[in-house]
Amino acid sequence: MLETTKRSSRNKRLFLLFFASMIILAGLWFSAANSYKLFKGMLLPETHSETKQKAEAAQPAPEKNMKAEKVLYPTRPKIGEQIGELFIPKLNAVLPIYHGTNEEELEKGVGHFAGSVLPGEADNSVLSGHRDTVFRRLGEVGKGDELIVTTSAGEFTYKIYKVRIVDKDDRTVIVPKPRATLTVSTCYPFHFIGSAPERYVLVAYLVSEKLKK
Amino acid sequence: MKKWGFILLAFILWIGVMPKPSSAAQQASFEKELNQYLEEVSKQRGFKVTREHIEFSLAQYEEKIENFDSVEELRDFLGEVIQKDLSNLTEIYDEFNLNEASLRQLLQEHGEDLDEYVFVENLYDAVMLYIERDPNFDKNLQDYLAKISSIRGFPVTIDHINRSLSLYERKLEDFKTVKSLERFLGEVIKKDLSNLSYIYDEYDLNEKELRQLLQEHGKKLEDYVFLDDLEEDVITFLSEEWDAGVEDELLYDLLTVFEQEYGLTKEEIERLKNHLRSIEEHLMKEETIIALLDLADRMMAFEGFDEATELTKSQIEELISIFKDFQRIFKIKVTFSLVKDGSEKELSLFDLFNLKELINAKLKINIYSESGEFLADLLITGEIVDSDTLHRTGQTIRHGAQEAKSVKQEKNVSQKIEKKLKAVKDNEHKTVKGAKLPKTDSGYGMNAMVGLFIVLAGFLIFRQARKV
Repeated sequence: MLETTKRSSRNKRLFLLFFASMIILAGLWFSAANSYKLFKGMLLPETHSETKQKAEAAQPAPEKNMKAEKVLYPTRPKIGEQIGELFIPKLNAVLPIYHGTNEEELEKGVGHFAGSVLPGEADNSVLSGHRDTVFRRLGEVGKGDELIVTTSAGEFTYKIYKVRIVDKDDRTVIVPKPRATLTVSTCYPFHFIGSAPERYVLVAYLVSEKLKK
Repeated sequence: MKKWGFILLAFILWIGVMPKPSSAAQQASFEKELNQYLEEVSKQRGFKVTREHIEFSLAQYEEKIENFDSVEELRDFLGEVIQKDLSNLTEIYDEFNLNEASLRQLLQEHGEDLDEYVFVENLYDAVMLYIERDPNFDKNLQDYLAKISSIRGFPVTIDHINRSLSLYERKLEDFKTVKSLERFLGEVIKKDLSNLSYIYDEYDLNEKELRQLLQEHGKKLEDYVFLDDLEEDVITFLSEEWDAGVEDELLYDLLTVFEQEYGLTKEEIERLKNHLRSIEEHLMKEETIIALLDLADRMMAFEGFDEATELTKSQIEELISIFKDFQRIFKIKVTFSLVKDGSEKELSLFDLFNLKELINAKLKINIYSESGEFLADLLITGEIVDSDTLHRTGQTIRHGAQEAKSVKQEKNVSQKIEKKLKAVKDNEHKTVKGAKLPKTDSGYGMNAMVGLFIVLAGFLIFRQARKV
């Protein structure tokens, strides 16, 4: 009788130990995976290197009159495809832009909202990124600063004219615009723990473009 | 007599740049005028309008301040300012069935405020984009067609409308209300053609000539329903003629002035014309045009030739160098001599520009072709120069130049309008309205923390289990 009780309690202990180990392992894995994503995201912004600037400067200035009727994007990108780079001079950071704003794209960089036009096109092109990785320092960027997007179509320079902080359910940000616009959004407040209730939005208009031939 | 030097240069310059007008350098006074303009706009708008506002407004049409040669041009382009009491928005209200409250509401739905708008046109285009299509559109369209049919004098169909819209790369679907379609298409040609007088005046045509011009391009007056479409084609057809070569008629007009005022004989005019025609191919060459444009820019730097300003020595040298380049391009040689009391004294260009006035003397201008063949000579007497004649000549030339310029400007304007249209043109790809913003909390940090808590919980269970 005692034997059986002992054995069952030993079984129970073994089971508990195994279960506890599993929990520890799972916790470690979960924690490590998320930490990895977080740090990977934080390390995504590349600094705008000297060599790159030089290479850009070396490009011949495109002819003014060449402002073509041509279609900027003969083929539309697929979800998950990298479509270009966002350079924020104020932060000296270059971020990759992926088409789509699902978790898979946002994990890799800045997401381009698929229901909006592509950068450079007339109308509103919407980019979003995680507030705690790629756009950690977006709060430092404000009115008058530039945002430069480079895609297969060329280089587009936008100037921020409005900074908005809106509710997460706001429906007035992703809207059509009568001019080529770039809207960059992230969650707000930046250091909120949990799911942030607001969105930090930069609205910029196209000031110049250098089209690739 | 610096004026004269300028006029002669301008004459040559004018012929040279006529087919392809150049852009003038931005003037130094531009900034000052811009500030004045901003002040004026601020006063009308009721708040401080800055350079940024202007840049922002221009960006809607893919334009920049730098692309404008003068503040006047900028003002024309930007158009009417929204008055601070909003009194001039009635057209927009009417066209889109709005009032102030619903307009503000509409803008708010698109994350905007009326104060972000300075110019009526910008607001108009935004509203045009934002507003929902009128549910009674089709019915109203039928009424509109009936109305314009009776004005035009023949049945105007949807096909006519579509054809007109296609000229501006527009579709019927781009319009939200029939009133805005009506505004876009503009005035209808009346059946008795009584409202064509504007076109007759502007392009120096009469009905017969207009019909002929259209016929030459395989069109007829009855193909047109709207005045704007007709004018658009008239401009195109006329500018085709302009581009066709060194413009004959204007050249002739100009030379006639010289004939009347300076005693040029018909033979001389013929020779000049023939000379220019013989080098037409050379003149139409890309390099020549570029060289001319370059010279034109250098000329423009002198800012108008009708002001008798004192020139510095280096400016005179620059003028002479420009003058020489013009001679080279036009393959002519020009010599000047002063005829006084029956004797001729050759003048250098430098002397010419320094010549103060002609008293009891005649200035003789000899024009030769490059091969030394005599083309013409002009004789200018002191009396002529000092009388109104010079002024008149200057005016004629200036008028001619302005005519050329106004056609150029019209061309520019229509290009800009086209651009305006393009900027708001319906794109195949559009941004959706009112989508929810993506969730941009990665939660990675939180999750990592949660993970650690789980580990901790695991440890607690582990310890507990060992105790058991």
